[in-house]
Amino acid sequence: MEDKMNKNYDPDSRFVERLEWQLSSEYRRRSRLKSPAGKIAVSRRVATIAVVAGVLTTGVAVTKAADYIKDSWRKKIEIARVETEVELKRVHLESIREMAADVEVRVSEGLIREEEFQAMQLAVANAELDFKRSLMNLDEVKLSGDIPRNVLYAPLVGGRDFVSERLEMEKTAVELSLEQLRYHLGRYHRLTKQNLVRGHEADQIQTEIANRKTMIDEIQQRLDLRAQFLTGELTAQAVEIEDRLTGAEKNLHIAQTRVESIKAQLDRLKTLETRGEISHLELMQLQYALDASQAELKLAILEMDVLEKLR
Amino acid sequence: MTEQQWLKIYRETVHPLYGYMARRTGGNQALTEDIVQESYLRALNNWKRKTVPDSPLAWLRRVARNILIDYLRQKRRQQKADFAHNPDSGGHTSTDQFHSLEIFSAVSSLGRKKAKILEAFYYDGMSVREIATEMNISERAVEGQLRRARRSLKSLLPELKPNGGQNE
Repeated sequence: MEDKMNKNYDPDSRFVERLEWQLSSEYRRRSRLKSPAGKIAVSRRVATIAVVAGVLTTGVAVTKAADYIKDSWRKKIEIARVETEVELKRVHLESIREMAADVEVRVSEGLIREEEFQAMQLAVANAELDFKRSLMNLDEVKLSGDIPRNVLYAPLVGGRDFVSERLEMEKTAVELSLEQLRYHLGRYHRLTKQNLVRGHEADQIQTEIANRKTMIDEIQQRLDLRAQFLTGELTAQAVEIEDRLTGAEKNLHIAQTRVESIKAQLDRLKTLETRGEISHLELMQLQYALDASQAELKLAILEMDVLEKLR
Repeated sequence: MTEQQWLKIYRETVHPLYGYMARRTGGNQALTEDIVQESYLRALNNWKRKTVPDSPLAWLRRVARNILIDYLRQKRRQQKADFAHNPDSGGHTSTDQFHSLEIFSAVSSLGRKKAKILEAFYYDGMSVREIATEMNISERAVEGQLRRARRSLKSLLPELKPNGGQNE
C-alpha cells in the first residue's frame, strides 16, 4: 500500500448511458405515482380499481337509464367509458414496456434467464394488442354511438368491419403465445438431450401447442363465416347457427374428454378403495363429479341436436 | 427536484462516484456498477421525498460506501470459508480484486478516524497537506495518524504479503 491508487477508473460509456436512461424512466414512473399536492395519496392499484368501479357503475347507470336518455347523451357517456378504457390500457402498456426494458438490461447483464425476457416480450405484445383493441372500440363507438357489437352477423360500421378486425387481433394474440411455446419446446428439447429435464415437461408443452393450434383454427373458422356473411353467401340466421354449432361442438368435445378422464380416475380409485387405501367418501366425491360432467355432456348433445335441426 | 435537475446531478456525479467506488472495489466492474446504480436509486427515493442535499456527491459517496461495507459483511458471513479457498467463487472477482476487497474491508473496520485518513490518502489520492486542510489539523498530525492507521491495518492483514503497492 506504498503507492496511492491512481489508476484511471472510468465507467463504461454504455453503463453511463443505460443508467441515465433507467434513472430518467424511474423518475417519471415515480412522478406518475405521486399524487398532486393537497390530495390524498392513493396507490395506482386503488386508483385503477376506483376508475374501473366508476366505469362499471356508469355502465349500469347507462343501461338502466338508456330508455330515458337522449341518444346524443348516451353516445357521450359510452365514448367517455371507452376513452377511460383506452387510457388504462395505455398506462398499462407503458408500465409493461418499462418493465421489459429493465428485464432486457438484466438479461444482458446475465442476472436473469433469457426465458424471462421472452415472457416479457409476450406481455408487451399482448398489452399492445389490448391497447389497439381499445382504440378500435373507441373508433367504433364514435361511429355507431353504441357499445361495440361482437357477433358475426353484426353489420359494418361506417364501412369498417370491426368484428373481423377484433378476431384478427385475437388470432394474433394466440399466434404470439404459440410462438413462445415453440421457443420453450426447442429449449426443452435441448435440455432433455443434456438430461437436465425430464421428457414429460416437453410433452405438456406439446399439448399446449396443440390447444393453441385448435384455437387458431376456430378463430379462422369464425373469420370465414364472417366473410361469408358479408358477401351474402350466408344469412344472419345461418351465420348465428353455424357459429353456435362450432361452440357446441367444442363444448361437446370438452365434456367428453372430462367424462373419460373422470371415469379412468374412478376405476383407479375403486381399486384403491377395495384395498382400503382411500375412504368411500373420496370415491363418492368423484362419482358426483362424473354425474355433473355427464349432465354437461347430455346438454351439449341436446344443443347440437337442436341446432342441427334448425340448420 | 425536476427531471432536468435530477439528470444534471447524475451527469455531474456519475464519473467521480464511479471512480470513488472502483478504487475501493479494486476495479471490480460488475460490483462497482451495481453499487453505483443502487446509490442513485436510493438517492432518487430519498431526494424525491425530502430535498437534495447541499453536496449530492458527498451524499452519494457515503451511501455507496455503506452499501459496499454491507455487501462485504454479508459476503464474509456467507462465503468466508469458500472465499478463502477460491477467490473467484463470488462471481467475476479476480485475485487482485479479492485482495482489494479484503483490504477495503479491513480499512473500513479500523474505526472512523483511521479509515477516513487511509481512504483519503490511498484511495482518493489526497496529499498530506490536503488532508490536513480538510481535517483542520497539522501535517505532522496527519503523518502520525497515517502511521498509526497503517500499523493497525497491518495487524489486521498479516496474511497479505507485499504485492505491487497493494500492501505496506
